[in-house]
Formats: sequence, C-alpha cells, structure tokens
Amino acid sequence: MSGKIRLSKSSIDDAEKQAVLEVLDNEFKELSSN
Amino acid sequence: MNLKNYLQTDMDVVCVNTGTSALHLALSALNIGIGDEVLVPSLTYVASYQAISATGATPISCEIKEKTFFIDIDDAKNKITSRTKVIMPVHYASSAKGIDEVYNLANENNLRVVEDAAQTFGSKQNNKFVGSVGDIICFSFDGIKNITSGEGGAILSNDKEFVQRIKDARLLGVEKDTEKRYNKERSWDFDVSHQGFRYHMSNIMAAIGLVQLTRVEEFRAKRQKIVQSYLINLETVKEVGFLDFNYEELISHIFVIKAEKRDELRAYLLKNNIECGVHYKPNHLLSKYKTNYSLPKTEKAYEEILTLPCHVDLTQKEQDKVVERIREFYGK
Repeated sequence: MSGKIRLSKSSIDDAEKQAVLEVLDNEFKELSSN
Repeated sequence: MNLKNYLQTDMDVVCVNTGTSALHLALSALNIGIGDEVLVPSLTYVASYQAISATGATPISCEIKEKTFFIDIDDAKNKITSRTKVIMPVHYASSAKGIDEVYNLANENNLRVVEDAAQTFGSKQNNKFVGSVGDIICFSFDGIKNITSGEGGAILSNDKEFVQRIKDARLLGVEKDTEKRYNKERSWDFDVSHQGFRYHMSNIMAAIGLVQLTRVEEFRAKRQKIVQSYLINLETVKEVGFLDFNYEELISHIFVIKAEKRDELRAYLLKNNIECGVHYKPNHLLSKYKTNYSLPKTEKAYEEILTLPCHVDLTQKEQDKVVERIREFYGK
C-alpha cells in the first residue's frame, strides 16, 4: 500500500467473485456453437 | 431481486455491455444518423459525445446551469433546429434535478429524450428512482460506478417497439434472439433486417451485477455518509462551494466541489497523497467536437471543479485527512 487516498475504487468483493465462479462452472460448460 | 424490481418500475429493462453502448444503441434504434442533431451538455464525459457521433449525428454542445451543472434548458431551446431529434440530459454527479424541464421542452418540440444516467443508479428525483419513469434512460455499471457488473449498462424504456429494436440490435440484429436464447430455441434459421452490434451483457457480467444489486442500500448508506461528512466539515470554508443538489436523494458516484485556486489545491492534495480529479474537460474544447461559440458557464465551471475521494472503502480517517488538508490549504 502506498498510503495514497484513492479518488475512486470498485466495490467488488468476494461475493461477486463467487458468483462469477458459479457462472463459469454451471453455464459456460453448457455453451454450444452458433 | 432484478433491476426492474429494485427500481420499482413497469419500464422494460435491457442490459448491455457498457454504458456507452447503451447510449449508442438507444440513439441507433431511434434511427438517429447523419444530418441529425442531438442536444447535450458539454460538461460530460466524452462517452456521451462518442455515442452520438458514432451514429453519424452531430452533438450540439449546450450550456449548464451554474448551480447544478444540469443542461441549461434556455440555451438548449435556442439551439433547436429542424435537424434536432433528441435531447440528452446528463445527470452530472448523480443528480437529475432539472429533468422535468427537459421533458417539457421535448414535448413542446417533438424530441426524444435519452437520459445519460451513467452516474445515477440508485438515485432518486422527486421521490422516484431515476430510470423508473421517462422516455429512454441509460445506466452504466462499469468498475467504479454505484453498482458494477465489471463493465455493463442498461437501457430502460416503455416504448415497446423501441425495446424490441434494442433487444435485437444488441445481438447483431438477429431478430428475437434474446427471447430464443432464454427459451433455448436458438436456430440457424433467423432473419436480420437492421444494423446490429455485439452489445449484449454476458452471463459473467450479469452475475456480478446481480450480487451488487443486493448491496445497493449498503453502498447508499456509505456514500451518503461520506457526502454528509464533506458537506458538514467543509461548510465553513468559504473558498469551497457545493452543487445545489438534494443530496439525501442521491447515491453520489462522484463528489464535486467548486474550489478557488483549484489547480493549486489539486496540486497540494496530490502532494499529500490524496487523489482528486476534474470531471470533466468540456467536450466543446476537444478537437473533435470544437465549437465556433463559447459556453462561458461551462468554461468557468471547468476552472473550478474538483472531485474529492468518494468510494465505499474510504475510511473516516482518510476522509478526515482530505478535509484537514483542504482546510490547511486555505489557512483555516
């Protein structure tokens, strides 16, 4: 950490990361070609 | 919980991959193109302008009101021509204060309204969520917005024909592809009759967005606390001015002050490890969108505005330091 106070920052935390993993696991394996 | 439930609206909601594509898709679906003009305030991020010029239409730079930085309706009225098709108000710093005047002007002049509400998700105007009423409203969910889907955006409207056009156009113009995908009935046998784009929101983005949506009120409380703290602790600094917003109705994506000796203050804060910003360089000063007329109120604002740190991870200690350094700079 640089100690810099940031102007803005994403609010994403672990809950969102878990949701992405679930999508990758459940839905992307079902994808088929156009 | 979905966007429609959260916003308490009957409007249709169509999600896309960015806020800019939301604006571009909306204008394209209105058949805006070469020879058309779109009224837009100059004090906005260049995304508003790029979305307009991407259709072939011309953005017409308008003035802002001094107190709210919302589009100056009298100036916009003076710039209406036979080519004007759309007015695009921008909800600067999350406030839609002044939107009623925009709709009055649009109704009187048969214009469509495309609200650039990129910064406004979760904010209210007249006790209603921005996006719950109106003609066409475009949100952004990029990485640092009030809620994020990584990148993302949404378009809301009650115009059913328009909504069908944007649903098709966000998926390369393949007719009814959204509906077919949801019903697992995609087919090689489809038709395309309009220009489309690859602007749909992916599942990964939607997954992030849906979790974020459950946290909006947490974000509202945090951002409002930050804003209230700035308002209270900088109130006595006469060199600092605030925008005339109903802050209690907003989830402030950015917190902007009007500061005397702005550039010196900015340098002082940066020297003290405090990031701050200028939102935005007016578009009529950019090479691509340069005008042959000036916008004095916009140019004055550009010399004064300074955006202070405002995000949900900002601690009270950090915010106290920001305030202390500002007071120190002005010798308070």
